[in-house]
Amino acid sequence: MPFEHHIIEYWEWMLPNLSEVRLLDARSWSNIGFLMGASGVLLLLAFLFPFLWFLIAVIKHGPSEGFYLVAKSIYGGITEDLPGFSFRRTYAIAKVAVQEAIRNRVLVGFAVFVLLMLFAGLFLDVENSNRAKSYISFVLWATNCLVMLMAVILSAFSIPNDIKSKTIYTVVTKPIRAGEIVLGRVIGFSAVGSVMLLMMGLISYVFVVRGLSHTHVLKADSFATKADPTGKREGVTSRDAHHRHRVIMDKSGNITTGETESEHGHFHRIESEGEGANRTYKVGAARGDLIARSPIFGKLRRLDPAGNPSEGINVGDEWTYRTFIEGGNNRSAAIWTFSNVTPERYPEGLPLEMNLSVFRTFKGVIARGVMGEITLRNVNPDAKVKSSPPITFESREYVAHRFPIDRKLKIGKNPDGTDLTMDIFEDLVHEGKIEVSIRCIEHSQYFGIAQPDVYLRPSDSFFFVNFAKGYLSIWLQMVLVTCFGVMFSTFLSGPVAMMATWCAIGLGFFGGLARDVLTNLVTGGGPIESGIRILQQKNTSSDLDVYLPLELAIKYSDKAMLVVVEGLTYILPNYGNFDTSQFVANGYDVYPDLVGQQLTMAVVYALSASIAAYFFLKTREIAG
Amino acid sequence: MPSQLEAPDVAKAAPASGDVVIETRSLTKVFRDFWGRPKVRALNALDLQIRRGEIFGLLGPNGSGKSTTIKLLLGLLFPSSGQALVFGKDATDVAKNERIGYLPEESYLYKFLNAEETLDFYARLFNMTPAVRKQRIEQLIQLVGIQHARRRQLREYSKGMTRRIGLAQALINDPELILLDEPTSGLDPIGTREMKDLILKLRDQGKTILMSSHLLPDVQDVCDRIAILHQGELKELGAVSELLTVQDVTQFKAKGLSPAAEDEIRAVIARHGGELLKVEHPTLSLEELFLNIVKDSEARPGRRAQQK
Ligand SMILES: Nc1ncnc2c1ncn2[C@@H]1O[C@H](COP(=O)(O)OP(=O)(O)O)[C@@H](O)[C@H]1O
Ligand SMILES: [Mg+2]
Repeated sequence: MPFEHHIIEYWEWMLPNLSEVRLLDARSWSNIGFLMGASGVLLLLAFLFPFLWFLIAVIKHGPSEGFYLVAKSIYGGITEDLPGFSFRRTYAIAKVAVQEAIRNRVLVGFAVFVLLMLFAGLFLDVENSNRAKSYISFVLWATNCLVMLMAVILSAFSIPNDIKSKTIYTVVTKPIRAGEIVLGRVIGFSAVGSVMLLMMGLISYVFVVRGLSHTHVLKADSFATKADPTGKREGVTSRDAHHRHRVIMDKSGNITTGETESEHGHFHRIESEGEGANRTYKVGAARGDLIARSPIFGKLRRLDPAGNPSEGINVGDEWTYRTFIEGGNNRSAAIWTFSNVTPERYPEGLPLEMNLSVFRTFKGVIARGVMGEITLRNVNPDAKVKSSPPITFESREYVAHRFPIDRKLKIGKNPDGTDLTMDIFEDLVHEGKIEVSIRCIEHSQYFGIAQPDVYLRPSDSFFFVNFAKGYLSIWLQMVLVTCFGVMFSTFLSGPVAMMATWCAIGLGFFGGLARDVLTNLVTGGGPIESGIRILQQKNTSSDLDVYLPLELAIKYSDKAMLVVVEGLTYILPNYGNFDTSQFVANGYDVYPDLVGQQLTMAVVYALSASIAAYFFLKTREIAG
Repeated sequence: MPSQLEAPDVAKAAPASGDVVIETRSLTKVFRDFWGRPKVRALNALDLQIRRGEIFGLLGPNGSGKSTTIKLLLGLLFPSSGQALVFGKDATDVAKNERIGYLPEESYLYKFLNAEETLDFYARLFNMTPAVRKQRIEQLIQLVGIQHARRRQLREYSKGMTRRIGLAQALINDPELILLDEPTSGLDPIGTREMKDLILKLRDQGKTILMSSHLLPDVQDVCDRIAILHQGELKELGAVSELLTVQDVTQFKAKGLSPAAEDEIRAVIARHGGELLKVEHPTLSLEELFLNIVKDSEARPGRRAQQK
């Protein structure tokens, strides 16, 4: 299974697309966008909270005094605490938070990490077709867990401990504002976390690079004695790090490509010296396993066998993320539209790379992949040249498959015997756009396709930059968790605050998941309907078989419930969006729009949690 | 013009209210349990006025509500009813903290900091510049006499040293009003004397001081006025000399009288139907006063002191 992710552009993610949102269709709600979804819900809370607070104050103090109390707190916050903010006070709190963290032996966490790395070296070093992936996933996972654990413990216990030891009495009786205490803590703990993360990142990087580094031995007698009909001879390197590479030598004894064949996601450069039997080969370091492809994605649409736009066929065992196009003599196809296609950006032609998955309904020729064809199409229906001739390819499974398409395509012969060619950019690109249509040409076989499966790969970005982006995601999570921990610690006792923070993280994950489930609702209905179906042991395709108005009532209350749940999922950040380890591990650049989304989410939620924490701390009875 | 007519009134009222630094109006604190049911009535309808420049003592046995009163005045606790005003503003107002110093019952400081770091931390909370901080820290370390331990972590401090650094912390901003909760508790006689001298010195600098204690001798020779609390009720309030003097007993003590003169005095007393014991106004001991109050409380529950 290739690595799956939705590519969402920043503004597409941010802004609502209201024309696509229908109240009664849960699948369309994802179009509401972050701005209206999260910010809307948070803003609602910003009004709801003071109101609830007011209600509580009314019970205690009566309406007029209750109103005065709430209004004064909010008004005072804006007119006094905000302009009175002092960085020096905040810094003082942050500094003590750091000292406290060090005293509480956060370094133990770091020691655990180093130990983990030492052991990991042993158990990760096994036969595995993609060692880079498992190494990178492991270090990111380990770092993430430890840093989160540390952030939760530090932040959740800080203020409760201060209250328990009563050190907070001497602090809050100084002209410090609740906001400065909250911010100081968040900054202090984040600083500790950042230093830890930085150290862990450096160690991880060295661990990955060293762990994967290996070379092989290639000798003149490693090659077959007999050449094949074209004069090539095949050889293999020594077995190191649980694998060998094939090497092809041409007639004259040179390594044609100067490289080994790819194996376990990497290859080696080969240099040779000397002649004949005295020839020696030097195999270089592994290459191509620590990469960061930065793909240019296109927009995907699908055609059904009749050639009409469709959602594709769902073969049942797959998430709707991926749909299938049927092979054979029909018109079903997946069409990606790429924009900004210019000769300047792609001087050599289209650097296409594919990651299709294959669904075989019968074995077929198992030794080779299922055949498909690519057609480049002009988006302009009135163009002189509508499309390129089909280019056939053999699909490969489980690997990203480079399939560059030359700028000049041979389309036949001129009368004088020279090749008749077309130029992609001159003949097929219209206003920077080109369509790449992919079909499966074997009858009764299917290609599984998703939007990120086919892309252009003009150049890669640096692996270490991508690695750093992976750590940036962890960093953002850590800061967020710290904010939530501090927020809970302003009104809960230490252990309870810690539990609450874990729940917030869990629900954040679950909320994102719930949202995905909601927005992908196909059949089955909401909670009440599902409950009735379970009781009646009915599957989702049969009628509910209850009195009609009752059925309607059930359906509408289900919808209402889903709307509420959907709203609730926005109260907490979707932690799933922060998990970039799969990008880094699979060698895909964490695309800038995703980084942007993460930054936006982190800022919005960190700010919301901090503001909430400020009010909780400001209005709580410290010695109560 | 009306504004001109009103102006003198304001001018007259201002110094009077400006003189009152702390005011409580039937200040009450009821601690409640988790379910909101009343648990302890720690303070009941306290009315107090503390004026600028005086040393005011809160006296009472353990659990009588002294710390509760101080915490209410600092905004660490919220009143169940009534009001606590400091500098004429609500006690929960953060701005007042600029002019206040507070020494808690036990010195609740960060144990992992040393004396200098502690004072530097609190000085930063007053937004002091580095130069001011440095100077102020130096002054205070000299004042409370912990030069020799300035670089040691507070966890290594003895009780007396902890009190001293606690006091230094309370004075970091050169406050106008100082609230000291049991400043002498745990100090040896010399330490107690030093603490009291320091308090008197601060008063001489024009500061207002509110201190609490459960030991009468610790307050009687420093405080100008004291309030005696028992079970959250204000039992006595007034100048120390007034409270502790037993008015219906007179004692004379003289020197250099001849036996004849003594006989003469004895005769005068006898003529008035008295019996000479000792010639002086006795003062009550701590135990006596408290025991009287407790006895009185039980005999006449709800009797309250009048403001004198
Ligand atoms: N946070 C609290 N919760 C419940 N009861 C409290 C709390 N603080 C103080 N009390 C109770 O209030 C009463 C007064 O306490 P306190 O003001 O500390 O007395 P003291 O005069 O010794 O300083 C005591 O009975 C004490 O048990
Ligand atoms: Mg006390």
